[in-house]
Amino acid sequence: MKLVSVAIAGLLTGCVAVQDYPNARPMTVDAIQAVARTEVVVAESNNGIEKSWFMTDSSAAGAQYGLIGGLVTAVMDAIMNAGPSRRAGQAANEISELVPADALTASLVWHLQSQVPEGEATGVSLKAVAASQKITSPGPVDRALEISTNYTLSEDASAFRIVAHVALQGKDLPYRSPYQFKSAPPKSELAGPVYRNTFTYHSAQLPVPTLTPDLKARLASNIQASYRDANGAPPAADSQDAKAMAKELEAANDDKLTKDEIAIFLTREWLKDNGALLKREVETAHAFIAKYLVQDLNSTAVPSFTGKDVLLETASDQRTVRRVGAGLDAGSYTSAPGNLTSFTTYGNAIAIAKVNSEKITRLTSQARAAKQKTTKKST
Amino acid sequence: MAALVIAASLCGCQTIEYGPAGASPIARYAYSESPVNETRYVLTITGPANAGMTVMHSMWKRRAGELCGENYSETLFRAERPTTTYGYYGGAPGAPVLQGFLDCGVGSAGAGDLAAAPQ
Repeated sequence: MKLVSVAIAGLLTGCVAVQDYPNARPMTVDAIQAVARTEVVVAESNNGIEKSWFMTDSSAAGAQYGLIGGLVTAVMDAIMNAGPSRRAGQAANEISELVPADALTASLVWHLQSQVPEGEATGVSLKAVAASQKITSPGPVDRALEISTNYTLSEDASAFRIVAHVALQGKDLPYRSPYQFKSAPPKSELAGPVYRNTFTYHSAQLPVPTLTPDLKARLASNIQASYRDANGAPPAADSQDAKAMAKELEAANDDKLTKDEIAIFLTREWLKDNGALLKREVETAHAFIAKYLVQDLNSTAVPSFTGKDVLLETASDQRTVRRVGAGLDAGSYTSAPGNLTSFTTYGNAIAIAKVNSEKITRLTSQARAAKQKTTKKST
Repeated sequence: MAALVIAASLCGCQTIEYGPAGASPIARYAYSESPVNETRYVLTITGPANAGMTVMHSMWKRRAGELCGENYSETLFRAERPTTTYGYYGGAPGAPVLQGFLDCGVGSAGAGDLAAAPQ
């Protein structure tokens, strides 16, 4: 409560500074000379391809009516979120069967390796490329270019986004902010990686289906299938699952196609032909990241909060690659499709495949156990 | 809705259908552009939360026509509806954004759809 009051007071008095410089940290001439060839560490993708969804949260509204209000809204939210959450989880599970998290990491490693020059190279170039598990080996690797990624399918599954965060940090590579500050630079600009940038790839958009009687029937059958257990049996009558299924079937029979209902069909489109479309987009994204990362490592251009976009590439299908000109993302690279036909939304929640969440839990407890062992030894 | 209108009129917040972003009166479909060079702009339209793609695109074309006349080419690169989170009401669909490069004096992507744009 105290913290909130301080934050509010700060905002009211204008004491809380809003960041007015870009997040990107470009290479400097000194850093390029000092780094020359760099090892690359790709953080293993643990979440795999996430499925975004919209989670209703009315807890704040209910809280003003006390405990009863809080409980009522919590139950209402749980009912409203059950269907979308289940469907998002199911989509993530289906995707992970065809495009597992390990395959994403292997693909990115391969594309980065293809950028390693055979002979001598000028400027900054890549050396060895390896994958690393950041849950069990957290913390920055000295003098290595570290890359972490997020793969997210949009709410209605009509689009797919890949974001790569890259940083290079070294004990003998001090960071000196290239940005100008009216007063003393913020603490965050006094240390950390000497280089940092973000590369975002947006897939082509799939056309959103229109509601037909056939589509309604397929939707109902899909919902029923999602409630069957491992032996293919439907939920027992009067069980919570049976009630939830009935509610979903009722919603599927109305004349509206919600985003998560659309996602059921479009996820299948991505996974057709053994996931060919999804795999192609992943490969294209990784090729884009590898290519522009090497270019950016050799650029000393300092982005500006009020700069201009730079169009770097336009493909025959209207896909563009640009260097974002202004704002917090200035200096970052974005590859986006042309011929956009609908708005993409990435919701406020993500679902990850069961196999991936189980792996994360396992790795986290391993890491915790290892840490406890080390602490015991040192004491 | 009526309450919102009354509240808006009481506090003097006037809205218009179409106009520049960040200006008063506030435009429901707000445009902003930043020149990249002499003939190229990055043009952005922000609309109300319920705005559809057709209307948003016609607004984009409307502003493109105002900047370039009839001869221009468009390369859209962003059509996004962010999810905004309010502390009180939970999450809600945010204002859609349509953004792209506008090249004046090239092609003839203009005209045609302008009639569909609400005035």
